Amino acid sequence: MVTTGIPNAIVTGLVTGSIVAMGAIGLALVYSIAEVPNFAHGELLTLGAFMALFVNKPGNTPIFSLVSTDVQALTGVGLVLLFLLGAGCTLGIVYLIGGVRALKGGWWPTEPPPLVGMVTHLIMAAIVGAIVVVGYPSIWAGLLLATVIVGVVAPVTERVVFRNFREDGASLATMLIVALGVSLILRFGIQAIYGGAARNYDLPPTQEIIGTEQYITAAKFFDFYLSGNGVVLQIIDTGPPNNPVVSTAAYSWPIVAVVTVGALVLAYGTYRLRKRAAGGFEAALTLSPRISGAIVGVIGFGVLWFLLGRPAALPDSWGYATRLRLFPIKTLIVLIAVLMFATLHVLLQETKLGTAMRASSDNLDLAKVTGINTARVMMATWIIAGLFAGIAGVMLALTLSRVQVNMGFFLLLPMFAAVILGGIRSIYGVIIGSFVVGLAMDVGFTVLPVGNQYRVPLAFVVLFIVLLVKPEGIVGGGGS
Amino acid sequence: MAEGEAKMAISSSLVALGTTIGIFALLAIGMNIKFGYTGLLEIGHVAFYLLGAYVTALLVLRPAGQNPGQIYILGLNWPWIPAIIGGVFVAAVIGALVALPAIRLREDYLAITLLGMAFIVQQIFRSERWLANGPRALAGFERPLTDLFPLPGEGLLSVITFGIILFILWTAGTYAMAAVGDIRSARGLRERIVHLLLAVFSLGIGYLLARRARREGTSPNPRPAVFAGVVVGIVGMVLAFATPSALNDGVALVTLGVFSVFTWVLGGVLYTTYYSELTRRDHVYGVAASLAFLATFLPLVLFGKSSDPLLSIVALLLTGVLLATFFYGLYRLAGRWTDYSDVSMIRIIGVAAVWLFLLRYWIISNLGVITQTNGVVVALGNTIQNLIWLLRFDQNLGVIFGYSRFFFVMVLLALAFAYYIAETTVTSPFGRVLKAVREDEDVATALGKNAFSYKVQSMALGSGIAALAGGLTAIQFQSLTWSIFRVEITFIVLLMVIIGGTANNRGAILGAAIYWGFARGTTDIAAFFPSAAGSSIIALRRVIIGALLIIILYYRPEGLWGEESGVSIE
Repeated sequence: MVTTGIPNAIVTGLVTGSIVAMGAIGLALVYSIAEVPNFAHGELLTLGAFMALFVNKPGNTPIFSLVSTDVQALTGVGLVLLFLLGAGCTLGIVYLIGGVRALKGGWWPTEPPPLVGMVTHLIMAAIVGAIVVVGYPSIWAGLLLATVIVGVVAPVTERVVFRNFREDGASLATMLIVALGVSLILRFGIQAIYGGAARNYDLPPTQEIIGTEQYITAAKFFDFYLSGNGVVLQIIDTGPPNNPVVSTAAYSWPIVAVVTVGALVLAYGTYRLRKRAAGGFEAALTLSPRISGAIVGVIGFGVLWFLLGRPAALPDSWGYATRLRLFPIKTLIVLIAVLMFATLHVLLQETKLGTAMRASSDNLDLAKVTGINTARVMMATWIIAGLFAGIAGVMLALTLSRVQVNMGFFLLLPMFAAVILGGIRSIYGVIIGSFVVGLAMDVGFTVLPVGNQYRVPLAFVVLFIVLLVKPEGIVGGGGS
Repeated sequence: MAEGEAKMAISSSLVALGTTIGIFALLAIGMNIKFGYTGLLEIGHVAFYLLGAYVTALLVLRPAGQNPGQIYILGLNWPWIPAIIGGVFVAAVIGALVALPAIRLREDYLAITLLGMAFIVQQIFRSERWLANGPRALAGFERPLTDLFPLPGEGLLSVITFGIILFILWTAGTYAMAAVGDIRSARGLRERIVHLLLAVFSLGIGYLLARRARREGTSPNPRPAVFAGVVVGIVGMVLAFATPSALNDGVALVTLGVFSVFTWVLGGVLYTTYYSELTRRDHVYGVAASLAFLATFLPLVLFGKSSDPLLSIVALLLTGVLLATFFYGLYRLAGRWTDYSDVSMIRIIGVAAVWLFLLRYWIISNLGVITQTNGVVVALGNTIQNLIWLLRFDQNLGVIFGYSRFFFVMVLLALAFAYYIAETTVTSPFGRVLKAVREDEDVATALGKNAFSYKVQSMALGSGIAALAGGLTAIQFQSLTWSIFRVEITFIVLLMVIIGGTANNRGAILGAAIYWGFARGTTDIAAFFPSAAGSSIIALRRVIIGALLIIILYYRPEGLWGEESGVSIE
């Protein structure tokens, strides 16, 4: 009998860690640049999750229920509303960056003629709206809509609430209480409008991927059997009835060694090659040698593993067997998260805005002195935080398979733990911290004989231990 | 004011509301010590509330074996007062222990750490079955002294308890009268009338001794007040003991009933003293404001629950529009208020709030009765019941002093005790160092004070007071569940402290009263909404609280009664 064990918990921990990271990045950005310990950040996630319902199940949502004939059937008016919502929020984001001037292209690196800027923005907004309408009622269109809506709401909270307090020189404690107030408004506003019952998304059980029908909501079991002869990997798909076995492959121990060593060689080789090519200027590269080495190593491992397997049958006896339950949806979540991290990395490293953000995070006044438009940087930070929070909210709802008013708050404490662990000033520290927190939550609760209620407390225990030893966090630099 | 409450006199719900206010005022005082005076953003405060309640309950319960269906530790069958002391002690110790590693952290890290700790404590009590029967309710403990009630009853113990209650109430009342009113001499007709009222309704004794207390110095001397309490207590005991039980109603009426009326007179004196600089026109403004506020709800009250859905929605919208106009009008007036009056607008709003309460309590509660039963006599009876709020007019048992009123007095006593401790602490040299630590820790350290130890002590004290509230809650509910101690409670307590005024213990009590008054008001109004929107109203209440928090922090961070130099904005 094969059961899930610690390796599966590690995989789950990685999924949780990705979602926590998506939220924690926004939290850390706002914390370090805008100096707001944003207690309302969890509610931004909740908001994102609920906004996706507009596309996925409009019949159950407040305003859209008036324009839908069934839970997932929108009338023409409803479709127009969706389009306007998506396009409007996109335009709203651009407007928040810098007002009407920004709408005319004022925030682009080059100064375009106003008409060109305006038209480009309108086209962008129209594309977003069109994707939402065409994609409806798919959850992915909902994801896009949720992203742009929360991308507008977050900077609005800054404009309406937080900026006033910051200009008055409020202390961090005051900001925290203010953020608490905002979180109450958001959370119970959502509850007042939607009601307290839990909902969930409507996901089709199968979807067409590369021409074949894949069951995306059902798990695929990856069973590893370790015996004296080697490793046997059996993949079972639980989507279709009868749970068919997709493949069984055997890898003798020498082959396992070859794969592992091969991957390591590829990784190290890439690292050395990139380092030599950079010739001492590694910091200027977008992908540092370490990261490229790691990426090549992982891909190489996967490719070698795929190539060197021999079809075989299950062994009669085995020393250790473990099962990994991989959900295509959750794998997709991790991939989306990695994509967002990469985008953020490129933004921070390569673009002028990213450099301005890093400078403002270090020292706001000095950044102003060097001519950086800190107001715009502040807005951009909130927008990015909002975008990430919207995506994270939908992904959280997908992972938990429900949409509930308190789910954002449930993730808020792990997000804060991750931010403090990783140190506020370092985005990469925050990402590492988030994965530590995610792993602690899932692996800890599997290993220790405690109930499901203890997942969030486990994250906190990790935080406490770290804070006891190092009050500034792992990567440090957050303390005064 | 829902249908089902028609039978329950509004005096009983006032007592229930007062009890809740008292318990939360305790929590607010504890929070004030940690946050208002020491500057620690302790959003894990609810954990000590929980610990106090559970430890008290676990100490009072019989051993688990004798309680079928429940599993828990301890169960030492202690009497209540040592159990409450035990709860306070445990919470204070744990508060100090938690503070030891956490105080080093920066203020926002500290806040999050303490929040996490509160969350963990709640989850432990929720998940561990063996600890306190979690997640099910921990029950099976009886309130103290229940068999003696209702008072005055048979038996020596009952009579003695009755006497003690009388003693407490009359001492407090006489002392309050001496402290609040200037009763050295009566000049003018109006003052003579007030003095006459006070004399009559304190049965002469209270009045005379309050005069003597006043005469002996600028601040009232407690000894004559205590003497008054002792006299009335002994007389009450003798009367209750000597007279047959049929006349017990009369004894209660004479002693406690008269005292109830006395509290109203005292309230009036308090009102005129506090608002002494207001002109008559200012009072009129206040009354007019409260009347206007009530008027905005008329459409909702009249048509909200009608069977025609269109009519109810129109009524709802109309009320919303009227409310918005009312608040907008206030906002515009606030800018030009100095044209109308010399007194700040906040004070007028205070007057309006007092009149709102009076209108609600005396008049609105009778409106329902009059319109339904067409009985003016019933309304009159109701009014007398409202007047004599300390006693309950039960159909079967007559005029009695029920357990809920007794518990209310106990809560007030605990509150007075905690207030006394908090006030002496903060006005002492210890308190001054706390404030110095709050404002600038480095300066305090430079002057040789160990800021760390002061913070730890303040944590212990604040947590102990919260635990006292917890012990009282155990008595109040007679069963404890983990869900009572939600994390949101700390936020509500923080709001109370901020509204009422940080670093002001009376402000903490005021904040508790404002919050629960507001909560009660919205519950009243929610009864008139079309039923589909019912739960949304509760959620909307929290939205308003969040908005209020932000608005107050921005425009008046020191709260209503706080120190002028705000804690929050430097």
